Amino acid sequence: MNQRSFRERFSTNNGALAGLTILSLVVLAALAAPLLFPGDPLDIVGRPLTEPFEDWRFPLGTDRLGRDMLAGLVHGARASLFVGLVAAGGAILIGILVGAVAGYFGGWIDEALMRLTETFQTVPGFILALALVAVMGPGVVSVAIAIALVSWTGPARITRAEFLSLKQREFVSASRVLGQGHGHIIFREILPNALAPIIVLGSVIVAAAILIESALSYLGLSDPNRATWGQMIAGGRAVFRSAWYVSAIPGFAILLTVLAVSLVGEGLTDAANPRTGRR
Amino acid sequence: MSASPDRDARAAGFFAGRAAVLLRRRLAQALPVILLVLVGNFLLLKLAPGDVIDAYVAAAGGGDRAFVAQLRAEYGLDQPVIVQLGLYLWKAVRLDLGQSVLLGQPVLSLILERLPNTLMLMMSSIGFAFGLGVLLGVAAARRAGRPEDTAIITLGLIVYATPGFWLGLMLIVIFSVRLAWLPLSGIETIASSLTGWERVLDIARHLVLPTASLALVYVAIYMRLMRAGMLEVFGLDFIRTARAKGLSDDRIAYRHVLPNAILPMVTMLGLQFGTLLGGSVVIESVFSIPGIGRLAYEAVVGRDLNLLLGIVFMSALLVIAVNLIVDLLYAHLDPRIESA
Repeated sequence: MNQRSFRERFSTNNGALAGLTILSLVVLAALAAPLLFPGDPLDIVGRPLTEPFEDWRFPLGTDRLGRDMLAGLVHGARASLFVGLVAAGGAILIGILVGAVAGYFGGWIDEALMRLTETFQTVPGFILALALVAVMGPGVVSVAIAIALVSWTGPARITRAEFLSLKQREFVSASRVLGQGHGHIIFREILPNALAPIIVLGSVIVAAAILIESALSYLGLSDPNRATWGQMIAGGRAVFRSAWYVSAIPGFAILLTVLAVSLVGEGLTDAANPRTGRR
Repeated sequence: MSASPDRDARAAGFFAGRAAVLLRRRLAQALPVILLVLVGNFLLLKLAPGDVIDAYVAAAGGGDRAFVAQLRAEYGLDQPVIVQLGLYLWKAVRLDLGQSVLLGQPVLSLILERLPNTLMLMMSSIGFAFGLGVLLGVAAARRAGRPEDTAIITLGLIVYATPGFWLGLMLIVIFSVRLAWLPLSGIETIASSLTGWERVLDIARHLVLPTASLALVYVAIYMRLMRAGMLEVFGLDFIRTARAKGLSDDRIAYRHVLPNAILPMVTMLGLQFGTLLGGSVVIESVFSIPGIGRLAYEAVVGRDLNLLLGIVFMSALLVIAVNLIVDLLYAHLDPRIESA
């Protein structure tokens, strides 16, 4: 893959650039949250249900307890991005490990690992995530672990397919003849060549992870002492007849963030395979 | 369709034979998966702090120590772990999923009681997603590269990024609170004593918003798949032949391309079913629909792990059953496929 033309293809894709811009803003907001809003976003700071643009101190208004919506939103970005990245990273790591071992060794190991993968694909992911969080106890970290444990099957299948085709190649035979160990061949020889499609799948997993996190925290299974977008939406449920913006605003933040991640992912896919991109 | 009743009967016999082979093979594949689900469930039960008896005692507000020990012995919880696993599997084989501590009823009957509501939501969502997805996908593929196509694709990306539960809340605000067109929650009007078609209509009205919130993401997915499938088939040789014969664009699109492009989507129906079932947890919670999704949520909140794992097991069985049906349907629709 030609490095420069890859960058060129990505940077001429308007959707991808828009996604990258939004995503950068969300990341910046998450990183700068303690500077922008130093206090606890769950503190009551104003009159309850101040509408957006009504009071300049609270540009997006306050919720039913009088907590600053904008502060919650910015701090919520931390939880969403943390869970999205950690869960996707964990899922890809597990997937690579399972898929590489299955594809490389084949035989009964492959058979056993594929049955395991099939099992995880059969149990509805969200229900399994609920069970895992129920066992580990609610919290941001257990939510991230639970999402990773229900999202690794895609990367595992892709990695296995790549390994199945790559292990037949001559460079693998060559390093086997040189007497390299299995670990060296798997991680140093084959994996670097198999990585591109796995990384492209990564953006899809991050997007899905952020959506699952929002649903779990909406159901109250994340850390109750930390602001999350899902929790803010749940908080707005009690007042949505009179003040629907309390639920609407954090949901819109989820939508924008996931959309940005998807757009960047699409841009990466199209730039990586210019021929199979959109016609 | 058929030339003679004789050939019809032969085809039916052929299909039945293939279906039996397919059924056997799929069941043989499903057994290890079911076993692994059960072993996984058992592991989670063991990993969770406290066991079933602790949950009972907590629910009963404490208990006599000797009685607790007797209960443990009765449940086999004083046995070695491997014996406990055997007991657990043996119970599961007979579909004995134990008692729900939270609701004081057998887990199986709780699930079966709630299942019809979830199945109704699933069916309406699949129908909606499949129908609208195919329509939009065909429309986009026939205008590939034009502004309408780009608009449909962009809309699809936005829908894909929308959390279903939030969409549900927003739809409630618009259609139930502001416009008062549709009911706010539940599966039917309580104590309405409606019967026959009136009751069906009432349930249908209750299903509109939950279906839309659950299925819209899948509309986007099917739309993209359908578009890609249509474009692929459009490029094949037999379409060129059809064009050369002078067939109209409409006829080519609907009679030649669509049937071929729609086949792979049938498999997707099965693959997506698990995700859809998972999505019903949060949608049923938003709309207060008494289905197994909401039951799972109640189980988590009420710390009833046994009930939750019962739902995990039953939902896995449901996913296996649906995939089996989809496979049979697929074999029926596409005779070229030898039960791959």
